[in-house]
Amino acid sequence: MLIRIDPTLSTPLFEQLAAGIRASVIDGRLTVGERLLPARELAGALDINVHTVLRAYQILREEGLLDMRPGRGAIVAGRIGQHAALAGAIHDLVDEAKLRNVSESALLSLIREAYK
Amino acid sequence: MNDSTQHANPEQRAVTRSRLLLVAVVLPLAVAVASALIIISWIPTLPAVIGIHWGSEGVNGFGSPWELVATVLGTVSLFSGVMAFSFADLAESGRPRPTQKALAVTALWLSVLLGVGIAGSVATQRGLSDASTAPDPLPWLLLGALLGLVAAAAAWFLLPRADRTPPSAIDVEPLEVGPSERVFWTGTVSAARGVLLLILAVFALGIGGAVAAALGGEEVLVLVLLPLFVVLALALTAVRWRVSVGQHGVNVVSVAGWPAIRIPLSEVADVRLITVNPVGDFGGWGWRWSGGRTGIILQAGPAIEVTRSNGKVLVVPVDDAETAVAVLQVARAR
Repeated sequence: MLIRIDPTLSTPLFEQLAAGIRASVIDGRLTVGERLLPARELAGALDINVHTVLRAYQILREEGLLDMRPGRGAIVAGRIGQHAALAGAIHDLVDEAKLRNVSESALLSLIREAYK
Repeated sequence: MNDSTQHANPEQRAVTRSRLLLVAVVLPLAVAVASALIIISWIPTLPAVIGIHWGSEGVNGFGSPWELVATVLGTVSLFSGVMAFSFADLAESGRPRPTQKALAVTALWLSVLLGVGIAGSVATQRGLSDASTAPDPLPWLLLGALLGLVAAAAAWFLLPRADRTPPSAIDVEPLEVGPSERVFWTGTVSAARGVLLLILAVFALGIGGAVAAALGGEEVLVLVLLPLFVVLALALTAVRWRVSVGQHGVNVVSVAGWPAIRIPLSEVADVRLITVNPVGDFGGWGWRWSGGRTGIILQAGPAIEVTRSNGKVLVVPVDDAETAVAVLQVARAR
């Protein structure tokens, strides 16, 4: 699992952390059934608040990417096959947008529109 | 290992390989076969049942001479057979790695120890009518060990000089990290299922042997079983490790929480990506030491190599080691 966070960015730290874990699940660095680092240890290693880590884990649990079990911590849930397909589609989408000179913010607002 | 290193120094490679095979496979098998043939030739002069195991009170185990023939041949061929596989990956210079050389002479030593020791324990029973009076074979085992040392020393000089140059580093694409960005990498590495089964099998054999000895009236059960269970517990704590690298340095921690190796970033003098061959570089799997290098070796392949400021080296093969090395290099550059 590779995590990169930057406190000077406007994106909240828990979202950056969740994005890093999500990316690690999608690119296979984290595999199904693997146990994540306990929240306190991860917080210590990144020098951030433990509640920030727990909030990131909570987001990923709601997305179905993690299972949280009392006493066992956070475990990568077995649904990443679909996410991997999605990751491929997103790569294609971004490539396509770059090809047509569509900016990141424009692409994001297009996606937001499509969700409505 | 890429093609250029595989095909470098072909003459040296051929010499090294043939001598390693001679020392670790051909000579040990010759010693074992000779010992077996001598024992077989003595069978007409031996009692039908001979002493094969001795305790403080003299002979306490009896069996057929064929059991000893099988012990010599079986043990030596098993050990030499395993050795033969460990010689595939020589050092880039074509010379043997230090561990390969040590393993090769150990195979020869073992064959002489068993060949002389066991044949000697049979020799003293020729012409006996009752094997329970068979003399203690300890002098023969000592003689075997000594002759084995002489043979191993001679073989050491026959083999090409060991190549102690550390493995060459593999280039790592650097991570581009902003000045205020924090990076952290973690991964786990577990023993292959086969290694796990092997550990359990060895302990099952050990415990089975101890129980059998106890049933046979030997009072060693607790003395043997207790250390066995302790070692088994230790072995099982070391089959899965978590590796974490980042601003804090390097942590390699058994998932049981202990044992653990923690190297603070301030003590990391160098970090490289290398390729590890478990038997060739460390003589096997597990928690290993080899010439100032500590290895947590659970798989072959790309590995993190950390040199500490005191000169000691830690090697951990792990999936995605390349990213781990890149993260640590970034953290160190700060």
